[in-house]
Amino acid sequence: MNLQNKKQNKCIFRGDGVTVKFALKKSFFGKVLQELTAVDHISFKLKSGETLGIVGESGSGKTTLALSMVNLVKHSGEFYYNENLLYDQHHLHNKDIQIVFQDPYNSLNPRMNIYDIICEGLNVHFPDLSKENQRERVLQILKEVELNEDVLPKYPHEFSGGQRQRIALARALVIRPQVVILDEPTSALDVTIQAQVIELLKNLQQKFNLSYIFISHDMNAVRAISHKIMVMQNGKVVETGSTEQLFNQPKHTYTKQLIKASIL
Amino acid sequence: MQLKEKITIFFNNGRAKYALILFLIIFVLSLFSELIANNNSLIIKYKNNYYFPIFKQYTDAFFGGNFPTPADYNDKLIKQNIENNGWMIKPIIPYSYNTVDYYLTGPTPSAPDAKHWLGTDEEGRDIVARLLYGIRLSVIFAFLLTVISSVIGILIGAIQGYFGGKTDIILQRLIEIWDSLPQLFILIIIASVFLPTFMSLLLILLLFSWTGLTGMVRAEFLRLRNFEYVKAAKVLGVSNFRIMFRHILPNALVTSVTFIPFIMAESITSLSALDFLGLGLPTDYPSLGDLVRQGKDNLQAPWIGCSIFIVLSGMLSMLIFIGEGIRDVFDTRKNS
Repeated sequence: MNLQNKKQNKCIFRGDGVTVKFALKKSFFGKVLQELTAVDHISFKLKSGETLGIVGESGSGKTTLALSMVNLVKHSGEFYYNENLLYDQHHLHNKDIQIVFQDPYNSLNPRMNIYDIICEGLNVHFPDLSKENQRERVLQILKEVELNEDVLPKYPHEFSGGQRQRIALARALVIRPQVVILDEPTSALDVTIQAQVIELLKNLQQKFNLSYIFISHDMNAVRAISHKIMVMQNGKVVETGSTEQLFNQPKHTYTKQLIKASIL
Repeated sequence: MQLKEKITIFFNNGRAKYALILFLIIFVLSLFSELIANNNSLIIKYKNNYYFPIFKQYTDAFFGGNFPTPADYNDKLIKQNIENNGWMIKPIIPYSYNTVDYYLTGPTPSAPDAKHWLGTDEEGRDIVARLLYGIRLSVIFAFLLTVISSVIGILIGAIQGYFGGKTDIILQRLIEIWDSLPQLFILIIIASVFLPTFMSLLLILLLFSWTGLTGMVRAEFLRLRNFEYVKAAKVLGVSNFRIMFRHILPNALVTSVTFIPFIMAESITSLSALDFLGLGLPTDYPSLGDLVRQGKDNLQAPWIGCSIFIVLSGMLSMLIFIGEGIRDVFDTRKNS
């Protein structure tokens, strides 16, 4: 962590005109006849150490946007990390940008034990690490996500949703990324567990100066963690603003609807 | 699920348990065919020296006979000569798969008696010995065929399913064309040009059998590659090869493993069928299919047909039962 990153106003991750289109119908020769624009020219900026919340209803393109941020879907437009262009033919992924998925039951390999799951990133990015150092780092990250050492030899099916989400978080954090994209990390969990996970995320953010992109349809969760919020509808951004501003003086009718719905 | 649990579930299926035990006993016994059914003696003590004819050939003249040809330990003169100068231990069945019994009293195929428990075939060879060697041959053949074709099939299916798109479409069309080739006619042509051997027959059957598992593995990979743990591995920068074989394959293998005993049963059947038609192994191999043919040709000698029927159907049923047991192990709905 260098000092520059600690400066609050430095932009660490930004997207510029990001567009994702899916072909709905193709001709016999592969020509696209009909397509759906899931993400439509979205630009955003994420400052170092901050959280950008992205809200919107189901089908608004939030998750697709998240997938495009880690280059899991074909997209046009550019992403910049510390003002360096991300993702070209030779760089399909970036160690500093990691993702945590919504469904904790789907995001852990049922046939790998927790140690292997967490260790996988170390194998790729720190192949020179000795076995002891590897284990040390795994144990360290396990402590950070508030899990015991005895989880390591177990398999994912032995854990609850909240614990699994912590394991998924540990897997992403073990290689020390700067930006973590959280794709509805709490929506599959009970309300009490949700609060715990959000608390944990906040603590980790402070400790490691992480920057989050927090995607959710739950306005309360987004409000609890975000510094800035972006509201999406049908693949487009309808409103952006700081959390307070957006909740106190929503401009767009869709934002108002979302806020109203969350209070009910 | 731990291995221990899996084994318990497997053994809870009584049929599968007994089938596996019986199959293993028969197969292990057949591995030691040379010690059980052999025309050579196991140990001979002759003039204060020990000899092991199953490992080394001795001549007739060596044991007091007249000829420089290999000794026939079933010959009366030799027997007497050895017993006068020491002793010998013979295998339980003193005939190998290709030993012709020249001391038969009746015409071949001869009926079961004390010397030949299941009688002899049309050339005067002991049926028990032929069955024993035949089981070993076909199980090893089927095992090799199953393993090699599964490995190739899983590899191709994995590539198709994981990469999808054009790779998948091109390979899928090629497999469809390949599969629609008339297998039997190609085999007939090949068999008429080359004299088939164990290896060449394995290779020829392999050419067509590898496509069996590809479809299933492909479908599993297509399903699993969209799972979030695979996506997470991609974002972590894990290589395609490692994702395919470390992250997806263990999950995709379940359905394939279930099929392996069934594929093995199929392989035994296809080898026997080819032998039956005379397109398989030459007749000097102890093949089960050749015994089926003899059974058909010699309806007046029902011991041939009956014994080969019981052995073949028994072996195939056992493989099916074992397959069912394995299927139970991986059936998550049944076990939860």
